[in-house]
Amino acid sequence: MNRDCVLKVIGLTKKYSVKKQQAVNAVNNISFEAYKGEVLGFLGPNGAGKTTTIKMICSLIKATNGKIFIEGVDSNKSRSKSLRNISAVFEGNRNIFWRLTVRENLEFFASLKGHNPKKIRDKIQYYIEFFDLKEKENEAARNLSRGMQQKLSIATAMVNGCNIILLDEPTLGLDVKASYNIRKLLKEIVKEENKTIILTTHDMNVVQDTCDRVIIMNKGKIVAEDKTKNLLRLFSMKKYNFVVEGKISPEQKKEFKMIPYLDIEEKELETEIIITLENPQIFYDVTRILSKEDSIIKNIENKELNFEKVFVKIIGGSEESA
Amino acid sequence: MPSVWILTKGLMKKEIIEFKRYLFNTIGGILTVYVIFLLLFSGYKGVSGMNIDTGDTLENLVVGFVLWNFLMFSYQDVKNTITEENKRGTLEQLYMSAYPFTLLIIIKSVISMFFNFIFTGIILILTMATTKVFLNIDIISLIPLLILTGLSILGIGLMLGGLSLIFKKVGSYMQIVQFLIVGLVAVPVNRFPILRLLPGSLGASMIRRITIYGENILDFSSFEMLKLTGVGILYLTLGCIIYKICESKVMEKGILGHF
Ligand SMILES: Nc1ncnc2c1ncn2[C@@H]1O[C@H](COP(=O)(O)OP(=O)(O)OP(=O)(O)O)[C@@H](O)[C@H]1O
Ligand SMILES: [Mg+2]
Repeated sequence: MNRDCVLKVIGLTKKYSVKKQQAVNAVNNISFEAYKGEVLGFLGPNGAGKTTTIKMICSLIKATNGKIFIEGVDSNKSRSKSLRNISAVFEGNRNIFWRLTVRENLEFFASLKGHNPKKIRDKIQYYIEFFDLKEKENEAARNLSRGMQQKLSIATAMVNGCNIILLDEPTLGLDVKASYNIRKLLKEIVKEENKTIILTTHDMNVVQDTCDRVIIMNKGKIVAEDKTKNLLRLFSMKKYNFVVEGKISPEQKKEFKMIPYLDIEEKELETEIIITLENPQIFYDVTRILSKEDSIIKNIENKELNFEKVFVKIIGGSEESA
Repeated sequence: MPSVWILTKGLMKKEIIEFKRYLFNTIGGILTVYVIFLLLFSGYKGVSGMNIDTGDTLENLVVGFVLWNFLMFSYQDVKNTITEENKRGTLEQLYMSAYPFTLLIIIKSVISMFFNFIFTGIILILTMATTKVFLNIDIISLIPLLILTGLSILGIGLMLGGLSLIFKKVGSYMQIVQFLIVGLVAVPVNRFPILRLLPGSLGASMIRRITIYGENILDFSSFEMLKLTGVGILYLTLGCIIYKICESKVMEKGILGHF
């Protein structure tokens, strides 16, 4: 497929040298591309190197090695020019100017990227309404709720006409409703404006809900990269809960231990055996082990696909092979 | 690079908004400086035994004080902007503008200096009214001198700003520098010509010649003006270089937005 590549990262590496300590290999030779009109999610455990990667793309952290092209512009060679097409919202709620009002923030951010706020008045108005900030447009940013501050931050990243928007944990610290709201708005923006959004998150809902494509990082390396739906299919994860009456025998337990990704939860009157299937054979294995001792299966429940499991499994896999 | 004028207008507007919204602080600041002056002044009167008529010493006090005040606020501006924005978390956003950051911070400082100039004017009028010492305020001659002196002060500001990027808590040590500035304003450049190379000294002595001795800019030789310009450019260049070195170190360490 020949899509418009707006961001190209080649062999990006960051080694932090910390005094009297071994250098930290925060990002280790990663390469990827991002395309027009997609939401690309970065996923990975704490310390995987997501924020470092984002900040290197923003020219805020100097890479040890590698190249970054933003709409064809080498960010190392022409820093300011590359920044014209990229805006970012970093972790936390400190991305906006707290003393300025909603409208003043949007105007100031536009001028930072060289756009005359007077000439894009309609656009500013549009974003104020789009992000549901009309009522608060003359309120100082410090007085907004956390969710509104986050919406304003994202709006400031949109208003200056940048094609690539980087969001580091955009739903962190938001309540369920605010988080849902942000996800909904992000989806709409991508659909309507054909921008590229690159986000990092720990929230599987964000991934499943908004991301077209996912890059999973662990210990500075990319351990998986695919369309969100392919990743789900790749593992064709099916999750079953077997509820067995009473306790299972030690022999049965020993046999179950041989099966990967199987959990046993022993309760007072019943035992729950939870399996995630890679191939259907495991299902029959479980029933075979149970039937050996004539265990009574009270219930078998088919659980839905869940991205979290896929994620944990990939990270687990990458650590075993490392 | 997009139009620098748009950036300048944006920064100016932000500055004005913050002044207006924190008007109390602004007025409070002016009053504080004025009160400090009154204390100095009454102390001085005490020492000189109520004998105000001691030639040009009193005028020297007024000029010295006002100049010190102006320079002190100006040279701190880069550092203050960087520490403040860093504390508020917005420094990284400023760094992501479509303009080189050094340009942005210089424009921001020049705007601050301009406002500072106006406040200094207010303080000057207040002090002149109090002391009944009327100086020769030849604006036409003073403005170019202030601008050229401002260059070297900006240079010092950039150096300190750079250091404050690396040593986040540099602010507390900065108090010492404030008193060095008193020295810079007061050094007798005529007796020790080498001292002309200090930032702000030469400019201060030339400003004194205008305000106290009634000279005007045409009384200065072109060599003197050239020296003033040269010193200004020297410090500004040095400031930019040192700032860049500190910035690059901070980006290398990945601690630009950390506080
Ligand atoms: N300025 C720094 N100096 C030294 N080490 C750093 C610095 N910043 C990050 N690191 C280290 O680099 C690694 C990657 O950190 P990074 O913040 O990029 O991870 P992350 O994927 O964003 O994690 P999280 O999910 O917690 O936000 C970690 O081991 C971290 O401790
Ligand atoms: Mg992070």
